[in-house]
Amino acid sequence: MNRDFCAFLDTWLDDWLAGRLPADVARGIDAHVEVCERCRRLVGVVRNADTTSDIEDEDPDLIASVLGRTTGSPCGQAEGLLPALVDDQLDADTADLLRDHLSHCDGCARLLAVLEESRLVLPALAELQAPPALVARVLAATSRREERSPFVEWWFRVLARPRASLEIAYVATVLIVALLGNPVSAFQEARERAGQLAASAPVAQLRGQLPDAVQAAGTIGRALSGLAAAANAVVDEISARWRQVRSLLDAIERAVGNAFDWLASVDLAQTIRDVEQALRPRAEPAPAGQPQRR
Amino acid sequence: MELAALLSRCRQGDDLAWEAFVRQYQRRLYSLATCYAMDPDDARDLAQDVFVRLYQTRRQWPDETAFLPWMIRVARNVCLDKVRARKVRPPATDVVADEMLDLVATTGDPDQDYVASSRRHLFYRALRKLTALSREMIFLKEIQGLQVEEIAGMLKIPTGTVKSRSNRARLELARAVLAMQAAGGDQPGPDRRPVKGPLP
Repeated sequence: MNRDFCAFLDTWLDDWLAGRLPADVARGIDAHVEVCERCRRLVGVVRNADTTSDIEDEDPDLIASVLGRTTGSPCGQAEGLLPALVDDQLDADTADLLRDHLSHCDGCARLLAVLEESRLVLPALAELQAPPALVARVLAATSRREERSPFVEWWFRVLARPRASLEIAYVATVLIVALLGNPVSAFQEARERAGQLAASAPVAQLRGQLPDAVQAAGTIGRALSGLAAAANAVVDEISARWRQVRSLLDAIERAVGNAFDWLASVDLAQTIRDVEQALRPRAEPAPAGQPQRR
Repeated sequence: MELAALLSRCRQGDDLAWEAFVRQYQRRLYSLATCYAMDPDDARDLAQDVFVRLYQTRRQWPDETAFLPWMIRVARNVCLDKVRARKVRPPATDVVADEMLDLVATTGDPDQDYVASSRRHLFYRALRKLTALSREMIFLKEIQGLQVEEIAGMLKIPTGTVKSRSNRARLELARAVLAMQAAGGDQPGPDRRPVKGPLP
């Protein structure tokens, strides 16, 4: 099979069938169609275009080849239309074309089957079995809670916002600038005052003593770094202890929470009645043969 | 009790009505919370926060006709606020999905329930594999049954965008289900078929 000639035939097929090609070109195409199974079938399909229902034996390879050389696979368009087909929102012609594609395409047909099943399965997920303690927790967090004033409720909602800290910092900055003025203005005359200071006698004296001061500063710096290392070790130790204390506090909090949950689930009135019944002194039975004292 | 009467009594501060309301909507709001939660505990906390917010705003509840979309909008906002505050993202792990999934609907026939439950588990696991955007769209439209206009108002996007996103999400879900089937993910695993009674 000459692929180049097949492509040539695809391009000039209509003109060849209409007899509009030069005689020598037409003869070349005739010779190619004689030897090329693919092009012979293609010509047969095109010549019988108005009686396609008579064509019984489809050649999937041929169709794939034709589609590959023309529009490409139609599965992308078909998949995009599947939800509308499931929802019965396609016009009749498009729906017929799509169903025709589905009858030949297993992949799209499987996708359609899952889409149709999803219409039945997904609504069943609207309600999931909630944890048993959810109702008790919600009631504990709502019904027994004291009413807050609207302003307090608003303030708590503001604090609960994800970017509350950023917003509050922004507002605070604006307020500070508005109330106290631009803090940078304090440094507007700093250059002039720095020049006067540099020209003063004490500064000149200090310049003379600068090397000794640098050496002394180095010594002090080394000493300070040693101190910082020691402080770091102490802070690490304190952090470790604090984590231990924190885990202990968390455990206590959980235990107290569980205790409160248990108390909330216990019928206290019935329990008190049971305890009273258990503590109530019982009348001792009279010994046999003796009358009971009244 | 009809929804209108229940809502009215809740607005007036009737504790019994509020308890009945919580019992009636706990499964639905828990289901919605699982869309945004990391694990069952997180979903329970989110559902609780949603109920607390509903309680705080009970005097502003709309009429029964508009209540469900309004409630879902409030629930979504609460969940998103909490999730953003915790700086977490909804995960997509099979184990968590299985732990979280305990379905309510049953047919009464254990065999049918077993098959239906397997399919629901498969779809739910596939749902957890979608992107957050697609998963939310499936939850709102296909699972909670909101109308396109209601979702558009909630998400502040055009109705056409809702439709296109919904279609994309449904296709994404269908592809995920097929992929899990191909990988053997539709197998129910150990035989947990109940002899009688409700689903596990």
